[in-house]
Amino acid sequence: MKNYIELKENKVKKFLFLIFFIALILCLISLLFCGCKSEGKEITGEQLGNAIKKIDEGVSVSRERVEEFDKLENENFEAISLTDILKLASLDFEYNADEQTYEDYSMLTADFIDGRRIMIIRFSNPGKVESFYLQLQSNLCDQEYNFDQRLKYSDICNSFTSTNESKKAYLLKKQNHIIALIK
Amino acid sequence: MNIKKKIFIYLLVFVFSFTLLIPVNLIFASDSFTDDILLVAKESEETEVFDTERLITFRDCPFDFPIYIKDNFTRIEIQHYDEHGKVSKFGGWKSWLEVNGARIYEWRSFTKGEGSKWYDYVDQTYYGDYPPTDYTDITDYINPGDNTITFYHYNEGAGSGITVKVYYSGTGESSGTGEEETYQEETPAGETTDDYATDETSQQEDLSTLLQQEQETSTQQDTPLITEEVNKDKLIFNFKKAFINPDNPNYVLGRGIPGLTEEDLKSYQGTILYKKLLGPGDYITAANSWEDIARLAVIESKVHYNYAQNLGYFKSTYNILSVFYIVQSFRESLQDIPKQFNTLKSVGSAKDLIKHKDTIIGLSSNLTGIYDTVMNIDREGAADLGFPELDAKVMFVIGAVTSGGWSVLGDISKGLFIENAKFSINYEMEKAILNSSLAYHAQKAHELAIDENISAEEIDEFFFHVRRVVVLKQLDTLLNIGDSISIWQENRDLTTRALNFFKIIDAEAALEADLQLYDEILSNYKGAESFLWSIISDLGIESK
Repeated sequence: MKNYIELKENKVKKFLFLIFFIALILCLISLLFCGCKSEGKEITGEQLGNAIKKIDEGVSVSRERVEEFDKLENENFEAISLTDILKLASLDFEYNADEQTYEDYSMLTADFIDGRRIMIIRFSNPGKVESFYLQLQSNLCDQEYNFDQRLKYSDICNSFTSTNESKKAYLLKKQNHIIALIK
Repeated sequence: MNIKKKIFIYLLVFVFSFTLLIPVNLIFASDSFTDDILLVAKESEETEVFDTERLITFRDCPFDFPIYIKDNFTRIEIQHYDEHGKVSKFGGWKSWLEVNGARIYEWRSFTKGEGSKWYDYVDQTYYGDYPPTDYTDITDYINPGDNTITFYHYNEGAGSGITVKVYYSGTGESSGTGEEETYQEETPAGETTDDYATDETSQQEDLSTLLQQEQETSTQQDTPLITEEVNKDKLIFNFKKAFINPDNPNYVLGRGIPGLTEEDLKSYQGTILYKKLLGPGDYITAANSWEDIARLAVIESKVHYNYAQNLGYFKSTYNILSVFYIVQSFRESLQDIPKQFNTLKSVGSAKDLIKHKDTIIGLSSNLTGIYDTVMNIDREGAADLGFPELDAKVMFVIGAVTSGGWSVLGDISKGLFIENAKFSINYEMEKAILNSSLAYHAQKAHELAIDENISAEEIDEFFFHVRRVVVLKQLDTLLNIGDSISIWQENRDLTTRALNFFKIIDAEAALEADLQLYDEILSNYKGAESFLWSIISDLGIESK
């Protein structure tokens, strides 16, 4: 019986030492990381970007929904064709479409019978989409459109109104695609 | 094992677990930026409230509400309230509100199922049937003294009241001491601007360090020097008498600045150039003074801060930065970016803005650091993503000119000319910060220009600021050219097709016409610069 108790005690001691050892190692690693961080020498692009992204969160986002974009919300655009994207956005209305492929991008435009129009651009270089999206918007604001509001779609969706108030345009950026809708 | 031993062991494990939590907390706490960062420190202020003290029905409209504002106001806000005392923007049929004839908001349209829409001229946005509750900043539309607010609507019902909050600086107007540092105070001996202009390598290595250095050293090389004779006499004279030419009575006060005269305005009205120079909307009038120029620049900067934020500049920047692994050493100051951005964006008047000179320099410096760092990791990749090499320099120059230096504007202007214009995501931010800087210098020039009696030192300072206004307007024009043409330069076919889709079919032709106008504007600014130099020379002021 005494041997059994001693054996049990030894096991408990070993277990506790193991916990103690692990805790000590974790503590040392944590302190090491903490030291590195406080020096502020290294930072990932994501951490750097997060400081800036905070500002974007200050934009008020409208709850307005765009039916044409609702079905696109959960689609992976990499896995489907431009025609598939158009079909999803068409709301089963008839349309005349034209698709062209160029060196750096593919473009599909379509006119619906009820007067709505859509343009889908797929960029071969995913990096290009960010800069083109921003500069296109800048140019629209300089020409015949005013910024209206941000809508809650991934990744970013802004609406614009034409200066004579006759048209409303929606510009959605998702993955390496830009989708413009006018109605 | 007895109970004491057990308790001892549990205690030991607990203490170790607890000690483990402390460093872990330290790590994760430092990863996120708290909301405190976004808070802008509020200064101690006195307030005064004007209230119509009754609801205004459509029968009373148009309703004039006169208010008298003392001259040490810092910020003025306006809002409506309903019969229940609930404060919000007014959502009335055909309603509009004007301050001294400038439209603040107006009813625009009604669509079945969607409701009405009002356009807010101050925020440049629309609001709908659930109007926002925040106050509208109308500081830029108010003058010291008598002001009139005019309200109109065509709504049945109880109507709406108006309340106006006026914030006054507790200590009255600053006279150039305290937090408003004068440029003389920043001027230890040091390098010359030529060092920066010629040492291209060091600029590329660390522009933000250079900016810091320039901030510290630039003023000395740039400060126009009064000739010894003038200094000896401690010349005090009537500023207006000396500076106003009877044949051209307004040139010193701002009408002589090309692009801002009433005549120029008429010829630019309705063109892209008009919007580029003076901002969109019809609330802008021709500048009659340096104060007007400062006010226009504050409005222009607000337009671009809003564009940058709303159009997605910060989200895109995040997406781009996320693909880089960055090793750099200015992390601490990066935490200030949201605070710096929000401070400059929320500044209501040029008078307020001049208290934030360091913020303009700080934000320029931080963004210079980011652009420069990304570019140094992968020059071509960064350019492809919209961070061309020139952007780091442009941002650097804006910070440098704000702090007092000239820096490498010559290189910038060469780089920004048509053939070199690069696709960039940073134009809106560049134009926003540039206009903050411009407003700062114009406001400082205004404060000196309104003095009847001005000392020799103040004349120096006046020209110091005026020259920087002119140089910033030149850079602004160059940026506008870059923004307009780079999208065509690198994606001509795609841009044509995309703008055709938006039925902007003559965009290319309009661009050609505008480029011609931009050329004229640039040559006008060159003329303005020479003109300034001739005045400086006539007055016996020397400048390196």
